[in-house]
Amino acid sequence: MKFVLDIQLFASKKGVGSTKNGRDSHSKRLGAKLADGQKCHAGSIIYRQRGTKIHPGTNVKRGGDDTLFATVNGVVKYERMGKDRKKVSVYPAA
Amino acid sequence: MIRIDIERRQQMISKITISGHANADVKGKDLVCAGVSCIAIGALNALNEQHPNCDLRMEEGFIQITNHLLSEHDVQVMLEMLRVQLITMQESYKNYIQVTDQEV
Repeated sequence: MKFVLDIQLFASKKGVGSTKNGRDSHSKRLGAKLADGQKCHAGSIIYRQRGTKIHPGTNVKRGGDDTLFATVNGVVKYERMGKDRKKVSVYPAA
Repeated sequence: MIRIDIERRQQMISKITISGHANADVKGKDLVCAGVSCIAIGALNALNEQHPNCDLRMEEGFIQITNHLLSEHDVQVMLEMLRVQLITMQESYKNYIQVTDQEV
């Protein structure tokens, strides 16, 4: 045939651009693992975080990845620390 | 918007001009453009086979058929068929195709 079929002869000039986005890391399930008033054992993870959104309080330590964990059996307590910071403590059950 | 201009002389179709871009989707996925392209290019090849004297032009986003053989009945039949096919598409895709049909 003399005229070759160009099936997009009347399409807009703009072609499909490629995107530089479209990547994302897997979510790390950060956040509270034990709620206020909950019982916990020594070694239990209380809060997963990056940096110190929540600071360690009484009977709580901070791990290498900033995870907060209990050092004694007891009850979890979230408290204020100063004007605008928070901390979490574990108080042995009475 | 694809513009389709049909010109007539003594009620005979003398010229069909198809121009513009459908912009129904990005290039490669534009179904409206695909439909019009198939209909129009098919008609070009048919006319070229049957009546090489017809003035047929095709460029990117532009097709023009100029009919100097107004007395040739079968050319009119082919052009009317093309017109009806294009209008059939236009009725379904009014936002993307505009047809004008006038005596000049």
